[in-house]
Amino acid sequence: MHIKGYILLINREKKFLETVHKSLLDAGYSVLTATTMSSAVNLLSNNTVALVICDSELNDFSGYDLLRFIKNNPQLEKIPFMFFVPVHDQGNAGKAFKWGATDFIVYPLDGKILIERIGAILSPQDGEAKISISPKEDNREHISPPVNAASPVQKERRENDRIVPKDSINVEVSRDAILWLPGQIKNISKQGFLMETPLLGRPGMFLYIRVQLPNGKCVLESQVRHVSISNHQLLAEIGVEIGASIAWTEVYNYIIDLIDTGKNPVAERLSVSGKIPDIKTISAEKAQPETETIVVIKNNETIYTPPSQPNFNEPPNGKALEIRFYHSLVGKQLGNYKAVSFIGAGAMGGVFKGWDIILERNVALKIISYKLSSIDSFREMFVKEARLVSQLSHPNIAQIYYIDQSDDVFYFAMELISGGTLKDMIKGGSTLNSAKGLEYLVTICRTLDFVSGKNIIHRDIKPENIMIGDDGTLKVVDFGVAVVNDGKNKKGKSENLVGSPYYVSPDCIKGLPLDSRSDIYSLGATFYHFFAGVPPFEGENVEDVLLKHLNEDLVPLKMKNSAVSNWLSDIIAKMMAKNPDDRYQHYKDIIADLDLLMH
Amino acid sequence: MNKIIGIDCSPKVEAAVSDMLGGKCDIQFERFHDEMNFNGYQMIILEMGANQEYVSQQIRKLRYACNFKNIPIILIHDSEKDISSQPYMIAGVTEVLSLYDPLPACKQILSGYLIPNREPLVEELEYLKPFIKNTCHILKTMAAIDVEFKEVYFSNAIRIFGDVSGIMGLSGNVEGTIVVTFYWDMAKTIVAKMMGTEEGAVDAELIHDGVSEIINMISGTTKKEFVDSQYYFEITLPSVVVGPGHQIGHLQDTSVSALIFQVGNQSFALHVCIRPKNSQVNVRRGA
Repeated sequence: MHIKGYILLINREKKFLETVHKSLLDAGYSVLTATTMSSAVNLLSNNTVALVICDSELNDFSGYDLLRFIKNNPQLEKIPFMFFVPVHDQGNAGKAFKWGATDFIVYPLDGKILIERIGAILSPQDGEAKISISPKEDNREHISPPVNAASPVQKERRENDRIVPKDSINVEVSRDAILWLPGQIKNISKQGFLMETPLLGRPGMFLYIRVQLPNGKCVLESQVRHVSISNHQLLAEIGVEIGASIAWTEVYNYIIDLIDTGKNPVAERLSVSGKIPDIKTISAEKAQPETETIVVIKNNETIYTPPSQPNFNEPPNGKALEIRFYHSLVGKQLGNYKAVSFIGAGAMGGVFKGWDIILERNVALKIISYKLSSIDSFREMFVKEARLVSQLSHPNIAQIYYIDQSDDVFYFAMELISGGTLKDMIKGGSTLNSAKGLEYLVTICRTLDFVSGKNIIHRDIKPENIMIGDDGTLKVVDFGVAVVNDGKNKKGKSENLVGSPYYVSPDCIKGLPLDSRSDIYSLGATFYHFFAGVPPFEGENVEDVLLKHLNEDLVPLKMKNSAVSNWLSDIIAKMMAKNPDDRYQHYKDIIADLDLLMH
Repeated sequence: MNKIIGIDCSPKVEAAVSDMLGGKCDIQFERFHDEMNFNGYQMIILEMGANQEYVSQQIRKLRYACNFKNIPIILIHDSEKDISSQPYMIAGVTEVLSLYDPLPACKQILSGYLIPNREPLVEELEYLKPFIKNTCHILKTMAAIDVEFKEVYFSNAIRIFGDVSGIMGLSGNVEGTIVVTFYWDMAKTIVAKMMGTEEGAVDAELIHDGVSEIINMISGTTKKEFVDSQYYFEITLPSVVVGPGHQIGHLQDTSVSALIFQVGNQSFALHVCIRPKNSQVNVRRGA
């Protein structure tokens, strides 16, 4: 369609401009675009404009300012003027008619209706050149609107100043304070802000807005005033109004300060739920001693991952591939076992909650890391682990049911334990009840006494490998690095360092041949942590901690927790003697001492 | 034998894919076109071109052509550099692999996706059946649309590649979410019928209201069937989400069911993630 002159399209949102610009071009119109009143005035002064279509709010002035300017200018006053207005603002649109507006169209925009309305306003003309300016800001000479046109409204506008941050400022938005979705502030005024969000609200709806302040998260109540969705492949834009309150004033000032100083502390990827998944990837050199190289994924709340804000810190490629491999198995069936849900990944493999379709019971499926399962020696190690554990029929040791390979995936089916670990208890702060702790310690001593009776050394006793089932039953788990002490170990033969730095024995660190006394040391360190709330030795890095195990005197448990008895403190100290010969030599001796303490 | 389609693959990628999967899969290679049909295929492999936007468009079209079916789309590139997978994941790809990634890892990941999906457990069917029945019933009643339940698959981190989703958070005796997801055209069709208006008159606001109402009714009606059961839940306020590749994370340690429904030759999905609060919360491994 050819018309005499251009359509001047003015809107503060460039994406919106691009979309409407394209649909007008497709309809055959020549189009100029601008995002500010000043550039619109510039374009008006240099081009023949047949129609102005303008947003009610622009980046510098309001659309009503531009309308007044045009209608007060004899050379421009005859140009028809059409407004985009949000649904709630139709009252102002009515006023605009008094000031000379020709028509208005309500957000959210329907492209067909827009073209129809334009067709009704403009009569098609032949012979006009088709020129289109791409929707970029016009940077030519800046023309300020005449003072008389702008001043009265400008005064009012100062109350409404919208400030556009250069960098994105992230907030969270929710209808029910349960499901939180991300939002990015596009501009802000004292009345509220405009944000881009995947949440498609509707005018009038109440929304919670959560903002990260330096002193914590602040939740505000707001009301949707404006919704714009120009294309379903894009996010929605929502304008919210926030009532005056001390909290809002604090948030507003904080955001303005961020804009002024150019800082954006909330740009470090705000969680979009109450909790972001806790994903740790720790390199061997920088490992926090407690955790070794384990990737833990915990996620107890509903998480929404926005396209621009992934909810994961991508681990180094090798570990990432491992995790991706485990995720490829969710919802699959391996032999007679259904992989129901992914529980987590450790150094050796991924663990799933599974279902045994033959015996109809829950199981834990341990899928061996593809890296390890492709190495013969590791495959042998896993088979050995399975055999070892299968020998250990004990109520406090998690049982192994089956080991197999299906579609090149190597897996164990094991007893599934519902509950937490000693580590969870330590984290939860429930460590100071020494009666319960003593009971746990005695139970684990009895269990490991049974294990050592089979000449097996666990080598990785630590709080996370002691589980407490929902029924209160304790279970020792993860015999992945256990070895049989068959007497073939020769003195002086160096062994690999195996275990977790906070709990590893000096003999293991030195690479000496190990026996059950190494596990006794680790058990002592585990319960030291349990009763004290802190590990026996801490350090900046793994090496620091290992050196302390070797050389530093243990601070008596009693000094860390005055509630424990001297006797218990002494028992733990003896379990953790540097020299294996100075430790308890047998679990039975520990149990005997603990029994005395308990009775 | 699994059927795999390779799209826009160079001889190098063709050779790598054949090397990894050739023995146990029937692999066909084709050029990309707009009318691709993936009935009967278990996996789509696409080689990443140089233009990110074009590749993303290709992926979106492939994902739409999958029509909510659980067909993994694997994007393979031949670059040693670490390429961000994010834009492609958003567009709908399942996995991004490099020819420089370790071969055993790639092989295992591809093999993992080819392992057959499991069937629902009895306990899962107990709560899925009411959702299936009520989804069909509500759309029939509210929009006079015949809906047929097609299939279910499971995941615990489902990305929803529709255009608009209605989300209902669950509270009370259970934790979880129910999410209904449509492509825009399907949503318009249903909402127009619900509202008794022309599809052309359906704008974003009507979509919001309609999709909110659908998830509200599915959840509300189904809730009543769980009275006195461990799955009885309270509903909260529905949220409607738009945008490409939006992802709803669900509860860890709980299976997420993706129920696929068919309306004519189009589909939509209902994701159900529900866990009674008195069931195990912290499941760990065994030995």
